[in-house]
Amino acid sequence: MHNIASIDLGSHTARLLIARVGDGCGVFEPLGVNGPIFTWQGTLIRS
Amino acid sequence: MKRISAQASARAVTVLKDFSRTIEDWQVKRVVAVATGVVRKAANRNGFLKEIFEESDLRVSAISGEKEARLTSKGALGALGIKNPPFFVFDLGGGTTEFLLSLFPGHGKEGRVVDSVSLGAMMLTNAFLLSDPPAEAVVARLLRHLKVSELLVSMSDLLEGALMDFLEGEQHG
Repeated sequence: MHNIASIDLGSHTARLLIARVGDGCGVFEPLGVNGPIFTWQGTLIRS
Repeated sequence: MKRISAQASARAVTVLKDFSRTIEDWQVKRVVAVATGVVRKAANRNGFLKEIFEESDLRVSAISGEKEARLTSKGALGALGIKNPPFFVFDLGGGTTEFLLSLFPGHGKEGRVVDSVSLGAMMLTNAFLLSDPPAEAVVARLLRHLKVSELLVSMSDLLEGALMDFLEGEQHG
């Protein structure tokens, strides 16, 4: 098992998701609703 | 062509430096970072992405509207367990909207894709909805804008093409 991350830098929001995946067995587990899912608003267009 | 301002760039760099530290804390092995909407259309896109890399050590790629639509749809369909058409997926973002429509299996594995259009919740709010609640005249102006928007034109073209494919299939099938 190891951790992977995705970042989506959008027009208004930046998001980071970290997930645990299995080594070749198809497991994908986002690390908790209150865990490392980070959202930051106002990146490029101000609200 | 619009540019990403120095202030907006600084905000993005601050956020991504924070993300970078978090990624390190979690001992992440692989990172995929993409930029959409405003970034892909910005005249100073390359300089902006270079600055992010230099400041945060994160290599961010600006992806096309079509790729964004495909990735969004892949995630949504996978999460919902939907494998076969018909389906319509759209992602209403801050600056753009992406959509993917597939009505028939003949549209291929991932369906037909229409590139993203410049209609976003924040863009429209900033352009039209400057008071809360908005005045009736303002709402009417926004609705007039939407009626002639590229999204609706694209959808109309898409549906017409899908219908023609279907009719041709009926004739030859």
